Order: sequence, then structure tokens, then C-alpha cells
Amino acid sequence: MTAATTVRRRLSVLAQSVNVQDMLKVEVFLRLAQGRLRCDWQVSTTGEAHLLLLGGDEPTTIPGLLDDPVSQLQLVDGPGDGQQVLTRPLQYDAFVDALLAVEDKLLPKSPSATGRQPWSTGSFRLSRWPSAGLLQPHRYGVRLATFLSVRPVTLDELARLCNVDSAECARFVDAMGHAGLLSLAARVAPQSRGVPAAAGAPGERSVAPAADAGLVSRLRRTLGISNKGST
Amino acid sequence: MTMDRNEMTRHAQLAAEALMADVSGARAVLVATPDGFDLAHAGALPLDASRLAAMVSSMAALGDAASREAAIGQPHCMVVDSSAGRLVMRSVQWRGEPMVVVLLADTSALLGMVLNALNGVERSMGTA
Amino acid sequence: MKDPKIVFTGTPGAGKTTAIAALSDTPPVTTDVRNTDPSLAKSHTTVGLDFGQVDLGDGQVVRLFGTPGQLRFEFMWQILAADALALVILIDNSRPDPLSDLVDYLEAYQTLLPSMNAVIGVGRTLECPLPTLDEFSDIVGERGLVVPVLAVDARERDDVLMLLDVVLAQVEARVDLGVEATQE
Repeated sequence: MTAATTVRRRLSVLAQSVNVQDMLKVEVFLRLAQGRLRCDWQVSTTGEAHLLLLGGDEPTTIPGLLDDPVSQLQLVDGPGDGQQVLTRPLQYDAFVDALLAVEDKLLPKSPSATGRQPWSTGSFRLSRWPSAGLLQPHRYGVRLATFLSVRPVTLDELARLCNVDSAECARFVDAMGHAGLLSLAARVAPQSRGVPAAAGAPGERSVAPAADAGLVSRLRRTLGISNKGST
Repeated sequence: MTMDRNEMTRHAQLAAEALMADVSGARAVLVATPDGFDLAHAGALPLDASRLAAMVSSMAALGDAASREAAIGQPHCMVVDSSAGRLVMRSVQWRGEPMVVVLLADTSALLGMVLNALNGVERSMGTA
Repeated sequence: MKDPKIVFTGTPGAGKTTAIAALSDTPPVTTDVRNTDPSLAKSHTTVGLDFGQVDLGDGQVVRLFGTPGQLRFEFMWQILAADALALVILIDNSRPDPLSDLVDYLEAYQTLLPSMNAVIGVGRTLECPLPTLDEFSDIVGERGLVVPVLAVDARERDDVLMLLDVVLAQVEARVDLGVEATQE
């Protein structure tokens, strides 16, 4: 399900006035994120930069920086405003999402031959839990991801189960698909047992006790947890 | 801990061995800290002292919680009466340090004798 | 119908007792005793279980259980998780090796997790951003599991409710699957 990229493009992040501690983190984060990124990122000190990381307020004076970088981020202390800001302490997910955003601008998306995504019509589920950065832009991201972590669903089923608008579900599923986190599933025939079958391997014993929908709604009501998700 | 651990272990070991000698039908004695560490054990019965120490500390804590819930004061002893023997445990204090003493006995052991022997552990540890 | 239970497990100091206290209608029953383990920076530690409950008001209660955190009490983890409606695994990211801590719980619950409603809550991620939530998800994914991994502060009731929201959503997803089964 990952986008077919046979050649990884080299992209660079250029830092100005970034302290040693934050630079160390940047280098560690770049190593850790290799599997998630579509390009090979490196730290550069001069010349072409695809992402400019600013640690201070000084104007940019990077030798050899002739072209505007694709993206520019400011490291700030305390709460920051807007999408061009990363707050200290520098967080892995936020930094990697910034890199992914640059990649999205530079690299073409890879639609299927019909121009539609494979998950538009079939059933799918998550192959791993998404990063906080991937979830954050989606108001009901945690709820949608939670349902997708349990069992394969179609888009319509997801919207119905989660009580979330179809368009919002589609945007979320697209994001997960483009991040390579979805696995298409053959529709599993529900097991006719007294206890609901788990969405694991066929024949796998379900140990979670049967619970009725009424119990869940009463518990939600008692604790004050909306069934449309709290994130 | 306010007490030297080695000294405490030594006294616990002596008390365990004394219980083994005094109680007819005793198969093993274990002394544990309330947070589940094995301090001393005696007897020929093969047992995983570390694992049993953790288990009896849980049991002692649950017995204490149940006694509080039922407002019946501080628990003295707990007895697990099983088909092939008994596990009898008592919380003791030695120089201000709490411990859990557990005696495992076969079915020939008289429960009253076991309880009496466990009641005397604090005294025997004090004079050891 | 037997009262359902939700189990909170995880490393010492991760906030299990705190999380239960945030939800329980009554002050939780605790089994804390003085800690003698010098490697654990706590004065007291749970050796039995924590217990709280949420009264649904119709004669039914949801029981909340907290397990002891240390590995030597693994037998209690098994006893308490049996027939649980959901499992909340809390990890303290300030400990020396949080990923290894998570592995302990994934291995202890390996037979239950594939079909258990479960969530992993990682605490102290602001002070200790590494390992990242992604790394926890990787560990889970290596075992063929997809378990939600969220950053939480167990002292914040809203964060604890978020964990409950996630496991309840999983219950809802499975209940719906069961409805389909009976309709087939």
C-alpha cells in the first residue's frame, strides 16, 4: 500500500541559530524517521535547502542560499502560533510531520490507475497505529483510528460506526493511505458465535467478554464521554 | 529501611528454621517483606520462594484491605485450607519492621498448633 | 449479568492508582505498602490491587482494577485481566527503558491482546520525549498488533477519559461485528 517510489530523492534541512541540543535531536530524529519518510533527508549548512529551521530571530543569512526554501520553521519556547512554528522541547512527531509536509509539496502523489484510491471502494484497516502528528489535523482522528484498529471496514461503515461525517472519514482514510498505514482486507465473513468474533485471524478465540451497546452508552453517559470522540 | 537488611534476614532465617522444628507436619516456612521480597525460607519442600513471597504479600495486603472494608480491625492470620495441605500466614513485626511469615503444612498438621507457633514468632525472633 | 471490569496495568509510578481515582465514584481501595526496593523511587507501592467502581445507576457497576506494577507480581496481572472488558497499559516515559517496559506487558498479555480491547498510555512525554510514541507503535506492530498509543497525563481526568473513550470505541466496533454475525 505504500507509494511506489523506486528512487529516493535527497532533501536537506538547513539550520540557522539552532542550539547544539536541538541539532542533536534533529540528527537523531532524521535517523529514526527514515522508514516513514519518502526521501533521504540530511542536514546541510550551506546552499540549497528544502526546509529552513530557525532557532533565533535573526534574518536569514545563509551563504549560497539563493532559492527560497520550500518551507521554513521557527523553533520557539512556549506555545506557538501557526503552522510554521515548532515549540521546544523539539518533538519527534511534529518535526517529522513538517518533513512529510515538505515531501508532499515536492513529490507527486501516486494515484491508482483508475485515478481513485484503492481504499475508496473496499474494506481496510490500519496496519499500525498512526503518529500523533498524523492524527492531530483530524478532529476525530483518534476515534476513527481506533475503529480502524479493530476490524476492516468500508468508508460507509466507518462513518456509521463512528458517527462522523463521510467527507471527514474520507479525508482521514486518504491521509492514512498516503502514509502507508492501511491494509486492504478481504471481507471476513462474521463468525456465527455467541460471542462476537475478534478481527484477528479466523478461528482465533475471542476472550473479550460480550458487551452490549447499552452498557457502553450508559458508561459514556455516566462518565461524560461523547460518542463522537474527545480529540 | 531503618534496620540492617542482613541482620533482619539472619533473624528471619533462624525463626523459619525454628518453626520447621517446632511444628509437626510443617513442610516449608517462608518469610517475606510486605512488598513481596523473599527474606528467608526453610524446609525441604521445593518452592519458588521469590514468586511465593510476591503472592503472599498480595494476599496479606488484600486481607488487610478486606478487614478495613469490613471494619473488623487489623488482620492477624490468613489460612488457605486446601485438599493436600494448608498455607497459614501471619503478619509480624520485628524491631518495627513488618514481615509476613508463611507456614506450609501437610494435612497432618493441627491448625491450632500452627496458629500457636506463628503467634510465638515475634517472641522467638526477638530473643534469637 | 456479571459486572464488567476494566483493568489498569503498567509500570510503577505510571499513574494506575491515580487514573482509577479519577474515575471511581468512591475512593479506591488500595493495597499500598512501604517500598523496600531501592531501585524504585517511591515510598509506597501497590502489592495487591487497586479497586474502584463506576455506578451506572441501574444496579450495574463497572469495576476498575489496578495491578501492581513490578514484574514479580505478574501473576496478579493474569488474574485481574481474565474476563476483563478492556485493558489500559500505562507506561512512564521517564524510566530508564520504557520500550523494554512495554515489552514486558505485551509478552505477559500476548494471548489476550489480539482480541482484547486495549490502549497504551505513555506518560511524561513532555519532559522525556524519547522514546517517541512512534517507537512504541513500532514495538506493538512487530508483534502483529495494532493497539492505540497515546500520550497522557494520568493526573488529568480528561486524559484518563480519553483512554476510556478509546477502549469503549473498540468495544463498540466489536459489538457491531457481533450484530452482523447474528444477522447473517
